[in-house]
Amino acid sequence: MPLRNLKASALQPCDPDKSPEKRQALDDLFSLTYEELRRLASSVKRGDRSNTLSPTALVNEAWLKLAGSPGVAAASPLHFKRVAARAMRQLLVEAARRRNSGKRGGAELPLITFDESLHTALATSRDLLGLNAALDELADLEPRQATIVESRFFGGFETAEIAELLRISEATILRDWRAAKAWLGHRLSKAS
Amino acid sequence: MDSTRWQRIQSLFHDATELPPSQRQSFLNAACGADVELASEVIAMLEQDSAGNSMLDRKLADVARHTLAVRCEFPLRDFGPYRILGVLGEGGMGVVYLAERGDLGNQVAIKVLRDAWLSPSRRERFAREQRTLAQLNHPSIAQLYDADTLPDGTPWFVMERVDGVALTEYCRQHQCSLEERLQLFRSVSEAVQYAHSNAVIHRDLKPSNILVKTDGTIRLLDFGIAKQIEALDVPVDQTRTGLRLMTPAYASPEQIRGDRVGIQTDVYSLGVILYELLTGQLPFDLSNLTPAEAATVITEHEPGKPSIAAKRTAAKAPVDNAAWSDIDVLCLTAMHKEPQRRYSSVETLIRDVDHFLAGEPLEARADALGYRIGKFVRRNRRSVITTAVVFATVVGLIVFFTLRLTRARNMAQAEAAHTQRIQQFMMNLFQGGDEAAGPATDMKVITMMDRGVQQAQALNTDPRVQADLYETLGGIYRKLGNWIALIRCCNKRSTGAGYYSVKTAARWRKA
Repeated sequence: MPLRNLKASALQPCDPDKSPEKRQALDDLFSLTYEELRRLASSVKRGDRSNTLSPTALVNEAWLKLAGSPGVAAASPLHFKRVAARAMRQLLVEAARRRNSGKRGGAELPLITFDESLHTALATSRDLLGLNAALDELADLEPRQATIVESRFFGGFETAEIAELLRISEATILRDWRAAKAWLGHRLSKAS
Repeated sequence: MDSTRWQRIQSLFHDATELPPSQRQSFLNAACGADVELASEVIAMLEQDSAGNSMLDRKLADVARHTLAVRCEFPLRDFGPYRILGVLGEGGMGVVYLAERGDLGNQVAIKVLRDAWLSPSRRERFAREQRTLAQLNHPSIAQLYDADTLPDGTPWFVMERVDGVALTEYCRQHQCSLEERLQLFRSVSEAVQYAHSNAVIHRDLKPSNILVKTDGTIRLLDFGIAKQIEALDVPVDQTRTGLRLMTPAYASPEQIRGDRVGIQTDVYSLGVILYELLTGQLPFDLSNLTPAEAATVITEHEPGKPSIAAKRTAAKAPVDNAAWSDIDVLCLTAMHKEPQRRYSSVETLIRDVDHFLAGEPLEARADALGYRIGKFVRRNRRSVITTAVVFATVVGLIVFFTLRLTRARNMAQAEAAHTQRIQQFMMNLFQGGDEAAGPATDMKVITMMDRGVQQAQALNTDPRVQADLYETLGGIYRKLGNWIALIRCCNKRSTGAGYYSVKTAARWRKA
C-alpha cells in the first residue's frame, strides 16, 4: 500500500506551516512512526491474550522508542501523537484490507489460520474499511471533525489533549464528536 | 455536497438535539419545508445519535485485536528461483518455509519476516548487510545464501536447511554429561567468536537458534536477523532494540535498556545459555512477569549462583564443590550486569572453559581480585590509620600472590590449588561492604591484619598454606610493630578527623 497516498502533510488543520521542509519532515516522521507502530502491533498480537492493544500504550511505546531519533526530536509529544494516530489508522486499514482479500486465492500454501471469532472478525474489518472511506469523505466536508475522530478513535487522545492541539474548547470538541459520530453512522448504514 | 448545505445539516442537528425527542420531527418539518431530503438526512443522524451504538464508541483495542489477530498467508508459490514445498515451522518473527531450488535441486529454508517491514530507504542497506552476512563461512554457522525484500517491504532470507534439535533439547535427549555439554558450548562459542572477528554480532543467541544435528555438530542460525528487526533509521553507531522483539530470558541488560550493543552482549547471552546447560534452569524466572517487571529483573536483580541452582534441580552428576565454584565464576562473569566487567571477548570465555576442563584456575578470578584491589587502593589513598610504607608492603605482597596465580597455569595441579587457597584468603581480606563498593572506607590496616590472623588460624587443614600466610602476616606485623605504640599514643591526642600524615607521624617519632 503506497504510503504516498496518505501523506502526513495532509494533516492540515493543526499544521498551518506548509513549507516544503516541514512537509518533508512530517513525511519522514510519519514513515518512522508507521514502521514502529506496525512492529509494535505485530509483536503485541503475538503476545498473550490478556495483552490489551490499547492505542495509547502503543503510541506511548512508539514515542519512547523514537524520541531519541533525530527526526522525531523536533516534534512535540502531542504532535507526534497526532502523526501516530494517522499511522495507526493506516496500519489498521491495511490489515483490514489484507484480511478481506485473504480468503480468495493463496490457497496453495498449506498454513492458513483463522481466529475462532471469525465471523466477528470479518465484520469488523469491513466496518473499518467503511469507516476509513467515510472518514475521508468527512475530511472534505468538515476537516476539523475528521481530525477529532481520527485523533480520538485511532490515537486515543483525551478531549483535553485535542482541545490543546486544535486550540478550541472542549465543549466544541464534544459537540463535533457527537455530530461526526451521527453522520458517519448514517454514512456507514447507507453503504451496507 | 456543498459546504452551505453541510453547515445547515450540522446546525439543524445540533438544534434538534436540544429539543426533547417528541418535538424534533415538527421542528425539522418547519425548518426544512419542501426540502424533504434535508430533513431526512438530519433525522437519520438523530437516529444514529440516539441508538448510541456507534463503532467509534468501541475501544480501538477490540476493533484492532480482531483485525490483527488473523494471520493471512500471502499467496506466493514461487520465490524467485525457489519453489515452496511446505512449512518447516513458525517462530516469533515469521514463518520458515521448506523450499527447493528448481535448477539446482537442493533444499533450502526460507525465512519470511511477515511482521517486519522495511521502508524503501532501508532496503538498500539491508541488501548490502545481508551480502556481508552471506560471506560468513564457518562449519558451525548455518549458511546464508540470499536475502532481500519483497516488493511490499517484507524481508526474507534463504539459508541452509538444518535438520537438528535445539541445544538444550539435544542435551536432554542424549543425557549429556557436564564435559559433553561444555564441549558443545565450546563449539558454539567458537562460531560466535568467528562471527565477531568478522564484525558480526548475533544479538539474539538462545538455544532455539542453536541446532545440533544427529552427528553432534552445531549450527547457529539467524545471525544478523535480530538487527534487521530492531534497527530503526538511526545513525550507524546506535542500534536500539525493543523489549518484546527478543527473548527476554537471554537478553542482556543493555539490550533491555536500548543501549548500544557490542560483543559483550553476545557474551552475556552465552553466559545465560551456559547457566541453563549446566544447571537445567534459567538464571531468572520471568514466566509470570509483565515485560516491565521482567526488564527490572534483568537489569537490576542478581542471578542465583549456578552451584545453588543445580542443587535444586539435582540435574547434573555430582561434581565437587571447587568445580561448582568455578562454574559460578564462569557463568556469573559472563553474565555481569556491566558489559566491561564481563569476559572481554568470546575468546577469553573459551580460554576459561578450557582452563576449567583442564582443572586449571580461571583467569576471571584473578581479574576479579585485581578489580577489588584496585578499588581498595583508590579508596584508601587517605585512609584513617596507615603509613605509606605499610601500605606499600601490603599491596606488594598481594601483587606477589596475584602474579603467582597468573603463572599458575604452568604449575602442577596441587601447586595451583595451594595458590588458589591463598588467593581466596586474600579475597576474604578485602571482604567488608558489598562487592561493588569494595571494602569499607574506614577499614583500618590493623583490622584487616587481625582478620587475616583469624582466618589463617581457621585454615588448619592445610599447614603449608597456613605457614605461608603467617609468614606474610608476620612480615607486615613486624613493620607495623614500630608504629603501633606510636599510633596508640597519637589516637589519644587525635584531632577531630583522626587523620595522620606520614610527616606528622615521623615528627612524633623523632620526638
